[in-house]
Amino acid sequence: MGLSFITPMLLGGAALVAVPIVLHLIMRRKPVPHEFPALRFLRDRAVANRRRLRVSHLFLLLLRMAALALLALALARPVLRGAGWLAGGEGPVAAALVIDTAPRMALREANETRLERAAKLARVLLDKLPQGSKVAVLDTAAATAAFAPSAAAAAARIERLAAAAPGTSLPTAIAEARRLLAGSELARKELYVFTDCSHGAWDNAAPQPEASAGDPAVLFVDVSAEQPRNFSIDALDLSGERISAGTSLAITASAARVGPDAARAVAVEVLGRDGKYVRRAIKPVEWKAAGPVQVDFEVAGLEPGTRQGRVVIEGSDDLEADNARYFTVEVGAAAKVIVAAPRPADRSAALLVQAIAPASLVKAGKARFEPEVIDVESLGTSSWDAAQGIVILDPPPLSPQTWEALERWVSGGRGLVVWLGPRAGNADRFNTDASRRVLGGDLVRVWRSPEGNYLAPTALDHPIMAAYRRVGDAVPWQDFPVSRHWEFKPAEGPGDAAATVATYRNGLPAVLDRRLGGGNVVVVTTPVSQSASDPDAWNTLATGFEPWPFVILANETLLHAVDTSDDRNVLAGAPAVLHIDRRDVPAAIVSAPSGDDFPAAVDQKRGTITVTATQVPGNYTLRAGGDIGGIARGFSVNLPPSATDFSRLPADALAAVLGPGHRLAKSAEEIVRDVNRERVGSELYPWVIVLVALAMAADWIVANRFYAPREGVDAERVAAAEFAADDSHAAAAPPPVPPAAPPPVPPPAPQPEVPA
Amino acid sequence: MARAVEEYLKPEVVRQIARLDLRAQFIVKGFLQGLHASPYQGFSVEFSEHRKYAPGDDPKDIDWLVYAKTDKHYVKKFEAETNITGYLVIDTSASMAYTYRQQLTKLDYAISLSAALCWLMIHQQDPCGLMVFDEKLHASLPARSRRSQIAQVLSVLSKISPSGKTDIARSLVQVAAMLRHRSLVMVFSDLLADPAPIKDALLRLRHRGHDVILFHILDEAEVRFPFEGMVELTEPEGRDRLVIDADAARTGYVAAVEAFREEYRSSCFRAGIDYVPLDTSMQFDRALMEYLVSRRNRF
Repeated sequence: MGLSFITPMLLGGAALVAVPIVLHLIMRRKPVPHEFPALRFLRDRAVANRRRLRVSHLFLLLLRMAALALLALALARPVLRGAGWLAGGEGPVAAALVIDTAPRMALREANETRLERAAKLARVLLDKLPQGSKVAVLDTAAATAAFAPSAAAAAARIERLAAAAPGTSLPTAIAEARRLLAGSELARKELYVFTDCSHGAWDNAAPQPEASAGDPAVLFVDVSAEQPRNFSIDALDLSGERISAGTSLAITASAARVGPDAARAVAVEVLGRDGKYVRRAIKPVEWKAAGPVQVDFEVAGLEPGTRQGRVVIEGSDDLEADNARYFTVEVGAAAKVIVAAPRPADRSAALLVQAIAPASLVKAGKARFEPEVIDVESLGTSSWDAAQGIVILDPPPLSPQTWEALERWVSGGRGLVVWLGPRAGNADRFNTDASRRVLGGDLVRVWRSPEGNYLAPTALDHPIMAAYRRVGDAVPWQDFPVSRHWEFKPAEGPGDAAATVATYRNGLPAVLDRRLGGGNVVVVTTPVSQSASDPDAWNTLATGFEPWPFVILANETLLHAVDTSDDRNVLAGAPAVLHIDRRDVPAAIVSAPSGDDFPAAVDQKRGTITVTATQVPGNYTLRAGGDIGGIARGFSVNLPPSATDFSRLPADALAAVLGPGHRLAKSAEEIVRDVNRERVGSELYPWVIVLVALAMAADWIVANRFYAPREGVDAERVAAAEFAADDSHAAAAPPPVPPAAPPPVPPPAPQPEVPA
Repeated sequence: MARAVEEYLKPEVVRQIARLDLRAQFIVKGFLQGLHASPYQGFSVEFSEHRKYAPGDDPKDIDWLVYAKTDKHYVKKFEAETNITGYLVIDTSASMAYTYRQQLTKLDYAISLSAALCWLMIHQQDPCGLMVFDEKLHASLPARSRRSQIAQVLSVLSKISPSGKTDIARSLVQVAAMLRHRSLVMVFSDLLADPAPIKDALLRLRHRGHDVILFHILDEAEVRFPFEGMVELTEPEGRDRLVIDADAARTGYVAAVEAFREEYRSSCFRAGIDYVPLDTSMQFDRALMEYLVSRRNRF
């Protein structure tokens, strides 16, 4: 807020306060002289009286100065207004309207969405802009900051705004708008932010800065709903994005609600070949507590290929955007995997092969992997084209050519899992530049821990370890001691380094993971290729009693290595990268859920297609090479949780994030009032005039008390009035002229003794 | 009628009579007229009895009306046959010439009052004398009861002009030294001087057996302090100056004057002196009544 003046020149009139000072000093009013004999009764009190007189004079002087100064202030017409007050009240302004267009703004209340309400209020603002103003409209979908060519263009842009997956956050859009306004040559700058004040918009946002001179005047317009009613699918948890044909897909949906209703039905639907959703299961859901409810589905009988579906919540509510979540899974034949093991290869690879492709599942055709066991020595000469992953068990030092071939192959979107063992031999011989580029680190030495060492993962965040979450701390790692393992030192540098996924009890890395080009490399620092009877066996991971933790570890490391090649389920706005095996396809057609088809080029070098237009949530399909023998892939786009989280921030949190001294308007009237106050300001003239009147009245009263009536007429008048008021002179009026003759002398008393 | 006569006791009316003798008559006759309705009836120059004329009696006392009826000479005998010698002692200092908004100055008031008292006393056969002082006694008439004494007293009174400072104590001591017989000393002064020596002088008078009536005459403005706002006050005798805010000083001043009067009142009461506080706006009868009461108490 600031103080400005409509006629600041008149402030110079405040110099007139010098007048009473001069008058006070050089024209001090003379006291009325009187003769007075009884002065002796006054002398003692004279000193105190004189002091009081001086204070009174000073008080009177100050009152007169205040009256003059206030009069000058009133004539200068002070105006109280907000930031940017240096500019004139009616001059053109540079205004930026930042409108949150996240999907939660589609929340409907009173038959209008939040976005429609924001647009309505924005039009009110546009109408109030002075002639010649520059307007920019920014949303959170694109946040392209530029002034519209005209107010009409800005209005048209507001009309076109639609809720979409956020390309940027609201605070970022506001920062963009500030930058745009800062570059404007117009003196007065105004920033309007239309927000639903929700967690989704403001969580983790830094507080807005406090306005200072030169900064734009910021007005937040609250368009939040008062009493929303909504049901939502917050999250989907798939049993896997890649499942074998014949196995079923387990889906866990998290359903939440806002509002009074407490019962709905949740259904899972799969996209058929005709492009229509086919309902596969439906379950009633009843909320007994405030939190979300988990709904489990089992979808069986999915045909091989890319399969897409969605989980929907039945019925209508205020916000439709969060009523469905989409998923894409790859159903198909088992992934081909090369298992390179030391001689005798079949024996040394038996434990791993049994873990990743159990004979019973292979027989039933439900195995995830189709392993091909080869001698590790012949790795360099084998063809890897058909395989999606390679597992190297206990590798000896490999030739640089082999490492380089592996590097190229993995970078193309494949997976490599290396279980280090005793055959690595001398670390110095094993480590080469080529091996370092693939593994992301060096072997240092073999650690020997006769007893007490075993795998002890500290966190289960990594996708490889996530599978252990269901059992948590109950994994009996201590039953599978690791007596020896390699110390693996990750390479320096953030891009190349392998990240530790799990550690041993002694704190050294047990499982490491690194991204290499489009593929993944997983390193385990102890082998699983030794037999149970081997006295020099480094561990009993695979040979202990009921080694189910090893089975999970073997599957998950391989799944992680080979299954990251495609982005099948992405968040809105994030790019989706899909791998195309065939290099003869130059481009693919992407069909968006909105019905639009658009081409996407194939990166021939990497064999990938990257789709960036993923703003609309839903299932996207990607086709290339014709219907017959062509490629048919797909991915699902879901909204990030913040995009649909419309729950309102608590007042204190909102105040903190909007910054000190923020202004928040809710209705059109409040906006107009606020804009007027900011732009025109509140004139203080009446208040200052009241102060002037008060000062003058006080001056009049004090002056009348201090100064006697003037000599002459006034004195006589007062004297006469007092005289007349006195009872002893009640009959004082026209004194009778004394009779010409004095009143008769009282006659003598009767004469009692007059002699006869 | 009685009310009309009482008008003559008011200073502003009396002032319109230029001749002092008439003014004195006026006051006294107005006063006496008023007495008929008052509880003090009879305390006057009441006729008491007639007795046969004997050689030596003042022929002017022969009642010619009785002689016309009876052809014999009778002399009127008045009740207050026993006389009291009165002295009018008047302060003529410069401060006595002051008035702010009244018709009479303090001195005019004192003169009118003393003239009336003189007239009254002479008509009661009381010898009346006059003394005038400022810093010292500088005019005096011995007490006589002849009618011509009135003219002499009034002649002196009419010539008084106020001037100079005052020394009341010293003047009273002089008065005390001059009076040989027990007398009624009537002092007219504003007493604007150091009270201690004045009280001593009054005690000395009293100690010599004189009856004293102290007419303390102040101007109405000196009692009420009617000024307003900023005033610059000048003392007429000493020419001292004081600039004050009258409104602020009024309450304290009035209290100080009242304390001053109270001090004299209590001192005089203890000494057996009649203290009569007057201001120039008051009627004359108060002073005359005081004289008569004092006179009655003597007999």
